[in-house]
Amino acid sequence: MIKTQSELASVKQFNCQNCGNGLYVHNPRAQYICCQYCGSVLDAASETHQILQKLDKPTKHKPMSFIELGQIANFYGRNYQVISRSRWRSKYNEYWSEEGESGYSREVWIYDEWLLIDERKTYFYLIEDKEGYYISDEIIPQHPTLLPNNLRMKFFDDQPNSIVREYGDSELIYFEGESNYRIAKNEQKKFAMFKHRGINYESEWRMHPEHKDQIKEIEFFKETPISRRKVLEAFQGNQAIEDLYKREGQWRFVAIMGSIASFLALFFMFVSIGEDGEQIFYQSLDTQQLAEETGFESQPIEITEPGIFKLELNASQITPQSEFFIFAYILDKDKQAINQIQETFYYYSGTDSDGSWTESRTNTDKIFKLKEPGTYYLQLYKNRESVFSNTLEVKVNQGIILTRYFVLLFIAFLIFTIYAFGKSRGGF
Amino acid sequence: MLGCTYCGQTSFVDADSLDAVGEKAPLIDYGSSFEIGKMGKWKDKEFMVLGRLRYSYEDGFWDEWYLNCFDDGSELWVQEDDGSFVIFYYEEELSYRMDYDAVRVGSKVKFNEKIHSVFITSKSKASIQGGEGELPFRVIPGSQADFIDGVMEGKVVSAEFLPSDNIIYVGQPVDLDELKLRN
Repeated sequence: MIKTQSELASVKQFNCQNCGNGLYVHNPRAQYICCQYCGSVLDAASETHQILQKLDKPTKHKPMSFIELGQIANFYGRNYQVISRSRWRSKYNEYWSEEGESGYSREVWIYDEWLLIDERKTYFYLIEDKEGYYISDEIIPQHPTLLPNNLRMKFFDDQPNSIVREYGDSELIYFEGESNYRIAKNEQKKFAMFKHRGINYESEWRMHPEHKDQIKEIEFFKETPISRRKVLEAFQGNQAIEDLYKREGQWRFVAIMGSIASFLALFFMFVSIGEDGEQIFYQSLDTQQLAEETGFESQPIEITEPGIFKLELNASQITPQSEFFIFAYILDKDKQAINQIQETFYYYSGTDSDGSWTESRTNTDKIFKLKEPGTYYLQLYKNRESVFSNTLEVKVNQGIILTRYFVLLFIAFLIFTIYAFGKSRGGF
Repeated sequence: MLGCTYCGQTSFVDADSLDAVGEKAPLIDYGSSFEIGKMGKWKDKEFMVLGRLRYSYEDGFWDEWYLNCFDDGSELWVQEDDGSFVIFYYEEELSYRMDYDAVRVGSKVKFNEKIHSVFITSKSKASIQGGEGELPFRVIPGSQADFIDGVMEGKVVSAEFLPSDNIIYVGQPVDLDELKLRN
């Protein structure tokens, strides 16, 4: 691999004793290096680069986003190089407050700590989790504390006593890159965190490996959120970022196309609601005519083009306090039924303790598809018990646009568009 | 005390003679913005880097740079550890022998009337790995230099337990830019 000029100076390079891949040590103080290809921890300081231990396979703990070891990033006007990543799993208590009640819920969270070093060998940590990024700075508080009994803490005079938002344990589950310290998988640390003006303030302490009841070291940190856009800007120039921009640009295009398709589906959905097609058959019938055994049979209906049709029955005049039942059949040229509809039409009204009421059903319809042009008929029957004379309008329309298809299309396009927008912004 | 920057021999300056003490312990250069002979300015104080001490402990090592201020001849120490810097501007000898083993990390400790309510953040056995340049006290590579670090009122407090005496330093974290280092 040819080193680019953007890489920081004084890089030590050697091959992993286990997998043979090229490893780079940027920090001259680094004592250990964990191969990002196979997970072997090697002695970085000696000439033999002996394998000291093996951690999990890196494929089990892939980075969450575009940041990778070796990348250059510009923060505070200086070039930094990413030299290590620690992945931590926290099991902790998280404060909640709802409708006057509050408490702590047990949670599990995964996050990465990226270590960046500049040419002057000063470091800082960039914290990354599913929700975003934080820049972590060590601080010296005026009021150092771990986890107070009343679960309220502050670090500085100008801060109010704030509720502890999170407290619990973190465990190192993966490491890659360089380290000044011996890498200890499953290393534990405890923490307590409160928020002030959008910034996380955290005390972190490690227990003594031998004297389990004693603390070995305490540190205090301030974690300031930094937007993804700013992190991307800082990492600009790295090939991974260029690839990411390209990918996100493609997703943005897809999302725009999806938005247009969603809009069109929505437009046609509304258009289709009022679109009833062209009427090709109409007949107004006195239901008394249908009482006979032969019922009613229409004149031949000539269909010149196959498509979607709608048969509509409308009881335009119905005797109060009565009901009747209709069977309607669509017959082909051989007078064989190919589709049917049946409905009870009724109109009832009255009064009760709540006042007057009305119940009625006066119309029904059915969408049907005819695959072949030709001659078709309609046949209607009525139940014999009904003796009243009612008026039934029968209509057949062709060229029906089905609203439900556009509703489905709209939902599908919308979901796809949201997904594509998410991808275009680095989500999912 | 003088530490040769070429061979690592530590020598004690006594009247007009140089007495070699300890073993030769050349310090490996791991790269630092500090260098003996460099000058800088912190607040209103112009200083020159005169020497360096390297301490080792179970988790690795750290360097302490000895600075001399031109204006008033006062001394400053800058601790360089893992790319972070603390400038110590006040030091005092601890008049009594402190019980190092009794101090617990996470507790509050009183060192003396001035330096009290120190929240202890770490303590460790350490030793002097070596020194170079000009140093204000006798340095013998390999000698004990256990430490207790703490925090008091937003300041850093560090107590060093040397064979000869116990010294407390008070300082604050400093950004490298604030030290305006130049050749």
